[in-house]
Amino acid sequence: MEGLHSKQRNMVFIQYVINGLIIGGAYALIGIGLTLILGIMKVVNFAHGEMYMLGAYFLFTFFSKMGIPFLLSMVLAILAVMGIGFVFEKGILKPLRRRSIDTVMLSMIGLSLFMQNIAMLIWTPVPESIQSPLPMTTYTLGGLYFLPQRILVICAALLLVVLTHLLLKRTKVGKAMRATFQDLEAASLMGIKIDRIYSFTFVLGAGLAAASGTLLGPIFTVHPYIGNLANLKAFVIVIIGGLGSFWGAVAAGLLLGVFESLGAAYVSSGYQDAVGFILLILILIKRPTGLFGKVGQMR
Amino acid sequence: MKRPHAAAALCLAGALAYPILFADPYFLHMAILIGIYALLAISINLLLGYTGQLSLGHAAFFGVGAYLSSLLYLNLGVPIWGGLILAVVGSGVLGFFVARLAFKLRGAYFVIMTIGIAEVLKLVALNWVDLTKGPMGLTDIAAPQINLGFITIDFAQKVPYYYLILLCVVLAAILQHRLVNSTLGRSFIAIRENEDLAESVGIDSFKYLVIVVIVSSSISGAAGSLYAHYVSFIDPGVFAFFISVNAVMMAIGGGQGTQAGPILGAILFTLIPEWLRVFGDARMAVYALIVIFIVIFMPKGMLYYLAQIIPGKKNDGR
Repeated sequence: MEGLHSKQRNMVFIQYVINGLIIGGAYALIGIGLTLILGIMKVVNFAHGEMYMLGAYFLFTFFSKMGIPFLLSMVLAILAVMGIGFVFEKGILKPLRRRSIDTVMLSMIGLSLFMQNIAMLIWTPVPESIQSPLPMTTYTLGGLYFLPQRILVICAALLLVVLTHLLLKRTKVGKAMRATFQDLEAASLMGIKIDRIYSFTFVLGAGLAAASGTLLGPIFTVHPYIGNLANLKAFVIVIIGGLGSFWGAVAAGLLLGVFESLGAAYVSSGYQDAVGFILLILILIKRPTGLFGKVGQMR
Repeated sequence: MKRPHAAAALCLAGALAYPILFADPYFLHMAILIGIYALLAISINLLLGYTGQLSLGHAAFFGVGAYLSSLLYLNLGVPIWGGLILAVVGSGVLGFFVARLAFKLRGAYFVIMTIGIAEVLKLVALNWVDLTKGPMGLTDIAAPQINLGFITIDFAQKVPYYYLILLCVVLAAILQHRLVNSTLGRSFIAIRENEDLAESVGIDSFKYLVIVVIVSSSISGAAGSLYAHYVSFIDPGVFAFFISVNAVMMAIGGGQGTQAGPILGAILFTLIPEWLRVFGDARMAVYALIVIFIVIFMPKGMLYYLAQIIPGKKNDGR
């Protein structure tokens, strides 16, 4: 009997880890978007969480209200947020390009406050839930349980991570982005159109955050202020992962998901959202450059 | 008297006369809120305006001050005076640890760290139900009384509380004035202007930054304590991100790095949301646009633009 119990306990533990990895996959997407924007554009994007919020709300409107098919709604929601990201980049960030990092940061805080309140006017502050059309029956595999919506989350997150990685490594625009990250002036001297790279980066980041919102929207409830926590978690991921580090953000996202899941299960579910910060504080005491950051990437 | 002193004296005279001129409870209520926010704005100003470090987590100190003095009163019967002092000491001690931890980082990372600490404390206030009653909040936090033998001053009345707040704001303003004009203050400014250069002439920037955070967080703690005993009810909302943002907007909007700026900012940014009530539900969206406008187009703060119009004078109405 003793052995059986401990085996069950192990299975439950593995189940929590897997649940954490699934949510962590979606966290990684927000984190990558933010780390690219911060690393390449040097913009501390406090409105990043609002892109996540809008992704979830657009999915709600397109799918739950207008009845557009689920996957198509997801794509439309992401595209719509990318469009909004484009407008913000051209309309607000571009004119502020020569201003101090603090000015831009505070403007983005104002923008985030603005977007939250506009969302409240459009969708009301009442939390909404998106009913996933995927079956609610769980699949069992080796004693572990999987909900279809969660399988979709991890598959889509993995796909987007790989696609973004290929985009950065294999395409011309990706190379230009990396060059801009390494040395803005040299990149610009080599004929890279910095304005275009910035726009592209911001739109890509907004799209990834929105994708995360469409994936987690059907799992959690959606309300105008979900962007706040999403944003803070994204920052935790960026700092733990190291500024501008792609795989650092992926690893930190997954790590955060797993620790939150374990923290909620074994410590206290009320403190789930504090896990990221506690992790952050512990890591920063030992390694101020983050787990994967190199010295000199700071500031 | 020097011109700024004359202006300060004029403002103080106006502030002292305010309850006589505007006896309406609503006006007094707004004035008390302005005073509490002025403390927060001064606290942010010391850090942001004089050392250049932006904190978006000062709600942490505000909240700790509020909870400390409320819990001491409710559980141990400590009156506000003791609570206020312990709130100042408690948030100062917290500030010491936060600063030691957070100043391993600068810039955006420091900002995130400060936000994170406020968020963790909010979750503690939400979840430590035995102590804080969680989301229910703490109620019946009484205002203090002073018994002078022949007369009892009841601070549950708005006019006495107004003068209490005014006294605290004046003390904080004097503290700010003394600090800024000391060698300590000059070191702060050196760090703001160029930290590496300051280090090279022997200024231990880490030490000075920790000192400024201790002073700054103590003032925020006092604001929290005064707030709790004024509204007599607090919940984990005292740790809200919005409070930190508002305090920063007040310091910047009024004029960071100036001594009167934060007070002017507190007046403006407490009144603006009230005036915006005409916009109904869109109020906060309009407020956000004003925030963006001020950050982008008026980064020097209102005091600077006001000084251009009337040199040497500033608005009154605390």
